[in-house]
Amino acid sequence: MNQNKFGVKIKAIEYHLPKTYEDNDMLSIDNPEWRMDDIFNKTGINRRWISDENETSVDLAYIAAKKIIDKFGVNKIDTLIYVTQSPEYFLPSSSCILQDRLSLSSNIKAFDINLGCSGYVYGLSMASAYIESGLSENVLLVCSDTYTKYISSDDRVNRPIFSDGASATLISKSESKSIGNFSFGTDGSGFDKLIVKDGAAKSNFKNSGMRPSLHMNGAEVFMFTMSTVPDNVEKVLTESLNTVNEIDYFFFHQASKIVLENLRRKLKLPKEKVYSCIEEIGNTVSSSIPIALKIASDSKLLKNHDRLLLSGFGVGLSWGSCILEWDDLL
Amino acid sequence: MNKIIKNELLNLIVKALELPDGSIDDNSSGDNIEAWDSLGHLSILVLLDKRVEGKASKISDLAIATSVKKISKILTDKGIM
Repeated sequence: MNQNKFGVKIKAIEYHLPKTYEDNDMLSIDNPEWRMDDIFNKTGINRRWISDENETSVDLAYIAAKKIIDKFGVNKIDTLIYVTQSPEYFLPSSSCILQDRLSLSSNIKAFDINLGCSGYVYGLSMASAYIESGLSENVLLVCSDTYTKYISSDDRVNRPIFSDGASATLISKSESKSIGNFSFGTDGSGFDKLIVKDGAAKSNFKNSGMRPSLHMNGAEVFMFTMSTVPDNVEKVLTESLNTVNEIDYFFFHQASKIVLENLRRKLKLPKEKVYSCIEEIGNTVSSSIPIALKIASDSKLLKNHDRLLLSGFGVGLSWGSCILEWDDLL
Repeated sequence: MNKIIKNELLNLIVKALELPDGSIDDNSSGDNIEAWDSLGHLSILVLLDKRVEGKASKISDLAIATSVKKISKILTDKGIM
């Protein structure tokens, strides 16, 4: 680990899922022509969580963040970073709305990051940078999305995959540094491989009267992942002077079973080192990694000083990986 | 790595799509094989990548090559077939 003026650690993680879910049997009823066994074999997902019609990403984020506030209080939080691609409004930032709803001090920094599945790693890097520079001491990193609002009931590509959900992570100044190194990448030439096209400036703020919809070319996103993420993981391992053997667990973005299995194959990782909770949670976009960390922690899988590698990748196209030394949560 | 030959590619696609032997020929594609949908194509890409020791995942054009002819041309151009 790099030596820095201030250390940084994850102090707490909480998450919230909507109360409504749908499983694969329910999908079959809506779409009897879908081969659900084949879909499950590829996605590994049986259950997805669906926000109510009037429930927004900020509503989910509020509940996740409130769980941390209830343990930690509001007064010490000096920075709020909100990662989302399903904001309540074009403007203002959802972080400003959430700051008010949580009754956080008006003397805090609050801003949004418009990223999807790489967003958690980006958020961790921003939180670390603020703390290491002395600008912040306690950063609340909130990830929240309601992608299901972009997905129609007959969308066979996206509906079996995406869940709604929110996570909140408290990152604080500490004696020792437990987050980093980081490694990132971007390839905007693939911007249209995973996109919501309608409703913004490129369509002159018009839409067809339908909800804006998510379009994903699954094969192209899969090939991007397989060609990019293993190299990025190896880069962050090399730069942090770690080897695969020194990493206790790999927490990849919970994209789908086929993605997790093939990342494992390409990186030659032991099965037991690659964590997955995708079957009952689904793909919650930027929250998938923190939710997986929390579930693994609650199940006592993670122990103090376990060395973890986190890697998020997807829409943008955008990717990022980091090393994390685990410390028991609040 | 040995180059992949045409019959091997056809058999690989048959296996990926879980079809009866001989179901795929030079004219097969996503347009005329029901199982060759987006999920089926992912299975083809995974088996192909395993067969050519990871080289296929570096060829982004394969993601949209949903016919035997298109896959064959790409692999031939890359010296893999």
